[in-house]
Amino acid sequence: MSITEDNQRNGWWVLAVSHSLIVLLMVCLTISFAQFFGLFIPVSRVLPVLGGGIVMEAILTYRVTRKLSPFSTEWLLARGAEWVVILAIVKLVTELQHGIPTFMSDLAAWQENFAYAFFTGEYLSMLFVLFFVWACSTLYASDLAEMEGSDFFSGYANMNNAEIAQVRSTAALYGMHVDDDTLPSNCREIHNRLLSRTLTIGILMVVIAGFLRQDRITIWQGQSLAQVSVINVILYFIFGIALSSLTNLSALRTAWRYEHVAITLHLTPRWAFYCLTFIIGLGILTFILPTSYSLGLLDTLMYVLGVLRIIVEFVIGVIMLPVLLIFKLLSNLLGGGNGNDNPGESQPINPVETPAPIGIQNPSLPWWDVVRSSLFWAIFFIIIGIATYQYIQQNRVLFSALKSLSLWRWLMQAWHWLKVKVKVVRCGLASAVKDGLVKINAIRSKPVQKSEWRIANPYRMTPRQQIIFFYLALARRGREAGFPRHASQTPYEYAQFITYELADERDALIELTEGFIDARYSLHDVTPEKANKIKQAWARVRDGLRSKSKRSGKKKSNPTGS
Amino acid sequence: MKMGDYWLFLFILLVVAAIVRGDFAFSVLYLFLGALLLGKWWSGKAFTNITSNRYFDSHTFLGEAVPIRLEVRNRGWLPVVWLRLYESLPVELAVLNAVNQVITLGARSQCVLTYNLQARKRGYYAIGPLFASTGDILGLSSEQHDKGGVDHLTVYPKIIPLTRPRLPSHSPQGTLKSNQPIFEDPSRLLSKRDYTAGDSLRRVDWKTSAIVGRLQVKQFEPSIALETVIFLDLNLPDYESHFRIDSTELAIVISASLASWVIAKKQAVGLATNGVDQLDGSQSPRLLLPRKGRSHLIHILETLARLQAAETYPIDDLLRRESLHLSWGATLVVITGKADDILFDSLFQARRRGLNAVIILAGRIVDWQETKRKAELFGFPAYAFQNEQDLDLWRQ
Repeated sequence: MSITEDNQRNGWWVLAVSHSLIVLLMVCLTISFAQFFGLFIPVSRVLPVLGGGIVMEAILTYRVTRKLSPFSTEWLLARGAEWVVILAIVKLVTELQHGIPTFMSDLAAWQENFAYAFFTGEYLSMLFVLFFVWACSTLYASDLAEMEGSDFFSGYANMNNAEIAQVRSTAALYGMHVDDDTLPSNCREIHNRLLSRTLTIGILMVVIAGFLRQDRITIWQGQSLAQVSVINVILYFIFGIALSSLTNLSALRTAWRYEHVAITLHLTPRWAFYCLTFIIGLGILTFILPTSYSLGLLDTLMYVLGVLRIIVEFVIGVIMLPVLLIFKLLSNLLGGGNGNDNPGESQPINPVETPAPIGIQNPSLPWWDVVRSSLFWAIFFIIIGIATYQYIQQNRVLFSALKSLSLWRWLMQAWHWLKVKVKVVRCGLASAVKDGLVKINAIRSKPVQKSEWRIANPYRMTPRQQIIFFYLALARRGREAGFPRHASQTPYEYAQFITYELADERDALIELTEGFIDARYSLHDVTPEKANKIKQAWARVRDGLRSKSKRSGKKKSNPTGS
Repeated sequence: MKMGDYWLFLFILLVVAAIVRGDFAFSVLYLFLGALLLGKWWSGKAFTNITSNRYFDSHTFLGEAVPIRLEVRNRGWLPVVWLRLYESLPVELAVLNAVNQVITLGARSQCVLTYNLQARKRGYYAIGPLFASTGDILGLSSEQHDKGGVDHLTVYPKIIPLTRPRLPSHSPQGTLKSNQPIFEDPSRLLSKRDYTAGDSLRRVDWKTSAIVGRLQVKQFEPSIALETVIFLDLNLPDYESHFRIDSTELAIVISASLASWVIAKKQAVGLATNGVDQLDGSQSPRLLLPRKGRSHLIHILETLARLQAAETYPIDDLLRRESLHLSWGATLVVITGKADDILFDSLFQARRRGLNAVIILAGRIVDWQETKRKAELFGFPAYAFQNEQDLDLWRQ
C-alpha cells in the first residue's frame, strides 16, 4: 500500500469518526432539549433516538446534495422531499408510541380538524427540537465537507511537482494564473468555526441544565428536578473535545496535503491514542478538582487565616521551647520551684495553647471540604483575573476613553503615589537589612590580605572582555617580540605593521583586529562563538610570534649563520 | 477563534456555576480550562525538548553525492503529537522538498531522516536551518515555530589533471628539470668528463681523476624550483559582461588545476585573489603564501570553493601589494579576464624584482591578438582558455 493510499484511508477514518462524534453531540443536545421541554409538555421518550436518526440523515443528505446549487429546483425538491419524509416519520413514531388504538382514533380526528389534530403541542415541540438538531448537523456536515476540500483540490494535492508545473504552464498559455492561496479551503478557519459552534451549543446546554437544577422549578412543577441527570452535558463536552482534536487533525492534514508535505504513516493512530490519553487525563483532573464549595468566600478566608495563625504560633512555640526549658531549669536550681516535691517528674510543657481558628463555625468540618473550598475560590479568582485581563486586552478603546475621566486620573495618581511610597519603604528596609548584613559579615569575616597581583582568567570574562583581552595580549607579546604598538597607531595600522613580520598569519591578524574593533566599539552583543574564533586566531598569531622570536633568538646567538 | 472567546466562554460557565452552585458546571469548566491550558502546556513543553543534529561530510569533491543524516530527538517524557520539519537547502545541490514532512515523536524517542545532496557546483553552502513547527492536539492555541542551526558544506572546484603546463621559473636548485645550464644543481650529478681549459677547479672530481689517471670534472643537471603564486582575478568588471559567471568559474577551475599540478610536482604554490570569501563576506585581499604539500592544496581548494566573483578592486592593485612578499624567482600566474596596460606595467615591475609572470585569460576574450602582441613585446608567456576543452593544450 502506498503512502498516499494509506493517508487517504486514514483521512477517511478521521472523517468517519468525526461524523460519529457529531451524532453523539447532537444526541446529547436532544436529551437536554427533551429535559427542558419536558417541564411544560409531555415529550416523547424516543426523542433522543429520533434526534440521532435525524443527524445521520442530515449528514448523509448533505453529502449527497452538496453538489447541487442552493435554492435551485433540484435542491428545493430534494430538501422538500427530505422534510416531508421526516415529518411523516416523526408523526408516525409519536403516534405509535401511544399505541395503535390511539393512533387509529387520532387518524379519525385528522379528518375532522386536520390542523389542530395533526400539529399537537408534543409534535410541534419535537419538530422544533429536531429541526434545530437537523440544522446544526447540516452545518457541521458542511464544515467537515469543506474541510475535506473539493475534487479539484484532492487532485491537486495528489499531483507531483512536475504535474503542478505543467498545470501552471498550461494555465499561463491561456492567460490564466493559478492562485495558490485560493486552492485549499481555509481549514483553520473552519476548525475555529466548528469549535465556536460547539461551545455556543455547550453554553446553551449548561444554561438549560442549570435552569433545570434550580429548586424554584420544583415549586412550579411540583416535583424535584434537582436530580436531573447532567451526564449528557459532561459527555457533550468530552465529545466536543474529541471532535475538536479530530477536526484539528483534518485541518492540518488538508493544509499539509496542499503543501505536498509527506505525512508519517503513524500519525493518525498515534494522534487517536494521544487524544484518548488526553481526554482520560482531563477526566481524572476534573474528578480530582473540587466542583462545589461548602464554605463561602469569607468563611474560607477566615479559615485559611486561622490555619496560618496556628502555624505561626507553632513556629514561635518551637523557637521559644529551649528558652522556656532553660528558665525552668534555672528556677529549679535556684530553688524557686512552685512546690513540686519531685523535680524529676516534670509536667509536660505545652508551649502555646492552639486556639481554634477564627471564624470556624463548625469545628468538625472535614479538612477535605476546607481544601476543596480554598481550591475552588483560588481557581475562581484566577479565572476572573484572566478573563478580565483578556477583556481589557480586547477593549483597549473603552479603557482609553475611561482613562480620560477625571475620576480615573485621580485614582491612578493615588495609585502611583501609593506605589512610590511602598517602593520607598521597601527600598529603605532592603538597604537597612543589607547594610546590617554587610556590617555583620565585616565583623565576622577575618581580614584577608589580598594579593596585589591577580591573574586574569579569560574563562571568567564575558565574550567582549575575552576578545579585548586577546588583543591586549597581542600588543604585549608584540612589544616583547620587538614589534611595539605606538600610541599613534590605530589597530588597523598596527595590524598592517605587524603583517610584514607575520605574513603567514595575516588572516588571523586581520580577524583578531576586526574582532577587537567590534568588541571595543560596537554596541551589539558579542557571542561566545565569536570569542572562540578570536581565541583561535590569537592562538595562531601567538604561535607565529613564538616561532619568530625563536628564529630571531637563533640568529642572535649565531650571527654568522654558519 | 480568538483566545478571548475561550475566556468569555469560561466566564459564562463560571457565572452559571456560581449561580447554580452546581458540580456539573464546574466539571465542564475544569474540562474546558484543562483542555485549553493542558494542551498548550503539553505542546510547549514537548517542543522545548526537541533537538536536531545533522551528520555529513562537510567537504566533498564536485560530482559526488553527499548523504546527510538528520536526527530529530525528543529528550523529554512528553510525546510530540505532530512535528512539521522543513530543511532549507541550497537549490544548487538539493532535490526539491528533500525534508518536508510531518512526524510524530514518542517520549524520549528519535526520528532519523536521510537524504542525499548532489555536489553539482563548487561553493560553500549552508545546510539548514531546519524549520520545525508544532501545535496542541486540539488546535486551540497558535502553532509554535523554531529554527535549528546551520551547517556548511564545501564543494571543491573541478580539477582538470594537467600534464605539461608551461610555467617559467628562475628559482635555482629545485626538483624540476631545466634546460638552462645556468641553473645547474650541485646535488644532481649528471656525468663526468675530461677536464678542459676554463673548467673550474671546484668541479674536479679528484677521486675519479686518481682512478682514471687524468683530470675529470663533474657535470651537474640543471634544475629549478617552481615557486608559483596564482593571482586569481575575480573582479567582475574585468570579464566580458555576458559571460562573467562562466568565465570566473573557468578561472577558478584553471587555478585549482594549476595548484593541483604544482603540488603534484612537489613544488610550492600560493594563491592571491580579490574575490569575496563567503566565509566572512570580506573583500580584503586574500593571500595564501606558497607552501608545499597536500594539506596546503586542500587549503587552497577550500578557499577557491568559497570564493565569489564581485565588483571588488583591480587585480593590479593586488599584484603590486602582494608580490612584495614573494621570494626572488617565483612565478606569478595571473588568471584574469582581460589584460590592460596597467596590468602589464605591474607585471613588468614584478619582473624587475626578479619574478616571472604568466598571463592566462579565461573565458571569452575580446581582443586576444592585441593582448598576445603586448605580452610578446614584454616577454610574458600568455595563454587564452575559452573553455575547459582549451586546457587540453596543457594535457598533451
